[in-house]
Amino acid sequence: MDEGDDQCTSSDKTGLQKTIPEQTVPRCLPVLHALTDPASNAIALFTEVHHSDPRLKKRGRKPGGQTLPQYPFASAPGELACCISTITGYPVDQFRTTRWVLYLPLVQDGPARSIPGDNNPGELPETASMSPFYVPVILCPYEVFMDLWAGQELLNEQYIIGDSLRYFFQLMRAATRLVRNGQFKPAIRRTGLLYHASWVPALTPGEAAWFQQFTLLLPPVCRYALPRRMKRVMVSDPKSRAFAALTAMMQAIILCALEKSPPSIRPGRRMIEGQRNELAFMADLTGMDLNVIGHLMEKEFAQKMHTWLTYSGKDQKISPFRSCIILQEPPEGSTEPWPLSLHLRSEADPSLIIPAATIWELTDEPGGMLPPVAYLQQTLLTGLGKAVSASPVIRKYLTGAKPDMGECSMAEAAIFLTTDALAVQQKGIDLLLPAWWTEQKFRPRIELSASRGSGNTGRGMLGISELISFDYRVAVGDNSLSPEEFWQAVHLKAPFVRVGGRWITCDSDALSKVLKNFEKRYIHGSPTAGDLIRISLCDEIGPGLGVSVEPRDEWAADLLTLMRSGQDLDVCPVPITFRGTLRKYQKEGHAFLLRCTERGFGACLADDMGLGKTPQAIAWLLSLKALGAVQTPALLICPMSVVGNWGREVNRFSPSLKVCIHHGAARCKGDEFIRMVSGYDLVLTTYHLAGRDLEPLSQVPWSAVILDEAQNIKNPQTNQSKAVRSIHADRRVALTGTPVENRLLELWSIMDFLNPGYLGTQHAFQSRYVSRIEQEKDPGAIKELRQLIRPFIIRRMKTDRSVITDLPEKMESRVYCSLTHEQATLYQAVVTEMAESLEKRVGIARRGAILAGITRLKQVCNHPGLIAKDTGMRPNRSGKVMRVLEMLEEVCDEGDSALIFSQYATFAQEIAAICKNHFSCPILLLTGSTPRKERENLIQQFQSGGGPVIFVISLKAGGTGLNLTAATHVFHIDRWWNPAVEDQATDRTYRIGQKRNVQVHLMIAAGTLEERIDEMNKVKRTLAAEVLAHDDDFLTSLSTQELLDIVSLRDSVFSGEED
Amino acid sequence: MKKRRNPWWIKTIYDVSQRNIIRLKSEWGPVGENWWAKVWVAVLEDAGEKGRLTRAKTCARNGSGSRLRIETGQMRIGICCSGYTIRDVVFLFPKFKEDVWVRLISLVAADAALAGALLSGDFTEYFVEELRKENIHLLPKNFREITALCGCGDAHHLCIHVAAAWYLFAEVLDEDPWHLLMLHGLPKDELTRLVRELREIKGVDCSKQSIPKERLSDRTIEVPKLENPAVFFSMAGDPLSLLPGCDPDTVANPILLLGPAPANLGGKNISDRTGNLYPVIREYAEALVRKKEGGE
Repeated sequence: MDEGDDQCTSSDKTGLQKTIPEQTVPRCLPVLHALTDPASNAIALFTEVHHSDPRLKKRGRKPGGQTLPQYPFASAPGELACCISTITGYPVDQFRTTRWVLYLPLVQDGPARSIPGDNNPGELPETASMSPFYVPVILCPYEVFMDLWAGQELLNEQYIIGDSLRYFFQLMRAATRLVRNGQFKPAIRRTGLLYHASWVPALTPGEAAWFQQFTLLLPPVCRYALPRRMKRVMVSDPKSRAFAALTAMMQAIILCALEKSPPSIRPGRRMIEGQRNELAFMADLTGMDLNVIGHLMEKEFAQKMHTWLTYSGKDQKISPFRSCIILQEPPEGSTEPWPLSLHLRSEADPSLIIPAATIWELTDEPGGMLPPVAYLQQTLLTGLGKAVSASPVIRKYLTGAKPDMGECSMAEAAIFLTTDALAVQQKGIDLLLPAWWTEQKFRPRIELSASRGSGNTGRGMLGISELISFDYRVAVGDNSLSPEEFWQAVHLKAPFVRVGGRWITCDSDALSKVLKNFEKRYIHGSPTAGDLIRISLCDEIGPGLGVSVEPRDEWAADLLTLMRSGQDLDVCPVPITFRGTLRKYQKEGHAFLLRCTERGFGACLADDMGLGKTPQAIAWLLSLKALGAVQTPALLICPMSVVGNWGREVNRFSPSLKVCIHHGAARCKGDEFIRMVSGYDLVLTTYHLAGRDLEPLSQVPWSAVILDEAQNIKNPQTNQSKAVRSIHADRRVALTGTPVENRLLELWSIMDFLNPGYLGTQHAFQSRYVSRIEQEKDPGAIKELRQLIRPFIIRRMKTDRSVITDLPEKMESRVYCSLTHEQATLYQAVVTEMAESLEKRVGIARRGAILAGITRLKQVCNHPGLIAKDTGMRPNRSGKVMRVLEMLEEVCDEGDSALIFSQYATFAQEIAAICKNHFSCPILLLTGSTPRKERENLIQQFQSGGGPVIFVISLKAGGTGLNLTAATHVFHIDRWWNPAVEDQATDRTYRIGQKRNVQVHLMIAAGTLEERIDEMNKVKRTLAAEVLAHDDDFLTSLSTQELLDIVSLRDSVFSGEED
Repeated sequence: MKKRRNPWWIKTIYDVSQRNIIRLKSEWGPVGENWWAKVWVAVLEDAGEKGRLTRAKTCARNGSGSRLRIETGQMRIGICCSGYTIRDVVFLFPKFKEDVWVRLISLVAADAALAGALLSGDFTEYFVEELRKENIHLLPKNFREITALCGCGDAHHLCIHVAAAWYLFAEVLDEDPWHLLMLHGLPKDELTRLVRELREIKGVDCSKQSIPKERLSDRTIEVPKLENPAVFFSMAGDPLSLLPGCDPDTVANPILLLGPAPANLGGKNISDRTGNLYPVIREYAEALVRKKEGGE
């Protein structure tokens, strides 16, 4: 700003500090006035006193002459400066005093004044001619004015605040609020050739209207002030004067704020060198120096930023606006009219919605927040043009020169909501519709209450087919209505109706269809517990009709809690007759089985292999017995290969259970069988026999049927599956280790055995889930099915966090395998032959014969083919091989790797060959004859493999020095006399670096010398006698009788015997 | 010899390079995808005889068209039907008279939806329908409305060439129906400009604005000769009744509306950097408001 020649700046401090002789005007305080000018960065304040200061009253020359007259009623500014200084803390000597030119109307030869004084008494004329005067002012910078505004009450003691000052105080207040609301933006300003960035107001149309009005209030005295005298007298118009003041005030507030908490911009050297313009821009805005003092923005950069800030870039991506149509519901208590209005909505800030009426009347004003009017109007027009073609309702109400809103009838609103809305949205137009239309929670839903039906017979254990009775109401929002009330409200064929004081949407046709089906099936039909469970788990009984279920009696409450509680199980006490301890998760499994079966539902225990399904099932059987719930025996159906294992496990965990194995050619048949089984607690049989002996089996009133390896009934069509399913029992339990969720038909088959009819017929299941899940991978269907089966299946995996912490790092389990008929015959033959040859020999020869005999026996246990030395051994000739294959299948399914150890290199080769035929995963083989280099390759391959790998190793070749931590399962396919050797082999996988639990499976041919060896090894281990291992010497030193005792075949079941 | 490029020299289909040949995109079934193209085709099919139309369609599909020219009031296209001679088929459209255009422009400008359709380029049924109500027909009502000229010797008015040209033009309209305006005498751009002018919408893509120099005499008034001394020092009303931003929840974010800035500082867009200043500033102002209003 240039200072004019004739502007006299009295900066001499002496003049200021001189105390002015008091103009004693009692009772009357001086009046404080404020003046502004866009060219000045401060507010000019002057005081008006009641009596003219004689010292100032000297008259200057007329306007047009060299000097102007001094305003006679202004007082010298020194006192004012002191006063402001005390209020704001701004040092007195920093105030600049100067004089401004002020045009005032002349009244009776003197200038007008705000307070009636001596020289202008009485009535004032309507108009008076204007004349310029000099008025002495002090310049109060805007940031000081901010403080003055804050402490304005203190002024009241010494001054009367004039309207002009009040006006600017009010403007300050507005500025503070605008800043608080974020209504400011940067702008580029140019003074001469210099470019600066500064903050300017960014007003919404509403604020702009306010400002326009506010401008009109500006007291005339402020309108004609000039900081200096000019030849051609032009003053700023009131609006730009007030706008400049507002801008300066907001700028002052912003800079104060940024000074108080400066932003963290730390310019690095590269930034200072390469981005001086950008830094200068930020420095201007923040008031920080940012190491660019003295550098001003270059013209091109300033130009670029200006284009951005004024939305004038040609290809600038103006954050887009969209046309938006709002449909509101009619005023409370009436059904019409429905206001339909047109708006513009910002995409960047969706809360910014500007009514069309505003847009049509908008003009481009400085300080506006919105993009140029042309852009907004064009956006609104194009949006409207598209909307009109999509919707007849919009066409009817929103046309004309400047459409903004219309009121449509209920029928039209219905058309708009149901058909037009979608088309309008597809045209890229935003729609704001009533919440009840768009939000799910306002849709009608069914409130169902359930109780146990009266038609049930006294006999319990109906489970899934227990009859229940339903009752329902229709709920909307928070209201609930009886069906009759609801239908009465809905009889109007409208897509929305008023129910219970609020609007709801309902497609009455579709709804009545769904409801009729629902009534037919559940209210008038005979719903079962299965239906209740299904409904409570799915939360929906038809498309778009939600449902919530409430119990009406204890039975239903209990059932619903059971279904909703999921798998957080309370642990039931394990009966004391159970020998051994169950881990925590096993106790949960036990509780789960009890919980389901005691309500008559079938349950499936689908834990991973090795987590102990057998003890859980045994504990459950004992619990049933302890609870006194069973009078009749339970039936356990399992594959042939595990019958022996079961028998042994039952004996081990609960000797009190009387077990009978229904198997073999000599098994009881017909009535004899029925008589016989009543003496036992548990009858074991195989799937095969279940199919063959169905007739006697189905005559027994079983207390429970347990299916081990339940995947055996995966094909529901086979005779075996049909037979198993037709066996009657009060409780049904299935055990399986394979992930049932992935094999859908198997899942259906098992579930249909457990809870007949729960998942519907096979056909229905197939069309509803199988194709949707297996082919389309429909997540909705998967979720639905999971929910349905969740109450009846418990599946824990070794990787579950809760299970891992519960498991030991190394778990050893004995797997008892049955011999095949061929094996048993061969075994018996070898024993007989051995007994004969021992009679004849002594000394070394005897010893040799014993060792040879034992080797042969062990080979028979592995596979009879090893004795006959024939190649191409079929796996089904050996019970042990069959069981190993079954288990490996589960291992591979889980993606785990396994090690198989055998003492016989030839057998190791055979096993590897058999595995190759059975599995697609890599099969590695390491025997004594594997070259060293090859070994390392194999180990490398095994350790790095991502998927399942099976590694067959001969015990002697791989017993030491290998590190095979990739395996989580170890199979010892035959037994070694010395447990230390086995342990050593096991430790290949269980080494440092192993992060997972390792399961060791000891394969034992039941009833043979292997079992005996195992027992001896157990003793050895407990005695820690490994050091003194006597190997085969121990056997050779025994007497023939003792030896035969050990090797002879004892109580055992042989597979294939039933044929 | 240098080939002459004068268009009139092109008399046979062999003179047209393959890429300039126009053929129907529709390979079977009806011609025209959008509703207006269907209306256009329907006008022909009402007038024509079936066998002839089928042959014309085949002819159009075989690539008989070339040299399409759309001018004010007429459309020309070269058609080679049988043999190799190209005949120019001309459609003369009835040009709207001056007063019709005036009516049309004021009609469009007076209805926001019509103006919107024009500005957005959506050739909506509403647009055509509203004009038809005013007896302004953009699409012909019947075949006779358009004078179709063909130089062939066929005595029938609707010769195969005319029908083929009609089909080909249907697909041209499919792409840009606004050609109809031009054919009735006024290009679309001109109409848009006039409508904009009438609605006082300035061009959005204003050219590069220079930064206004801050001049003191930007908006100035002369000091009036006379004023009322009685109210000279006072406000014309109560300012307390006028206060903006009373609702602290209406938070504006002008930076968000501006979109990304054309400059980065230290890998961060200037608009983000500036936007990040807002919370601190707003908080400070909020404190000021509280302090002041709490004290009052």
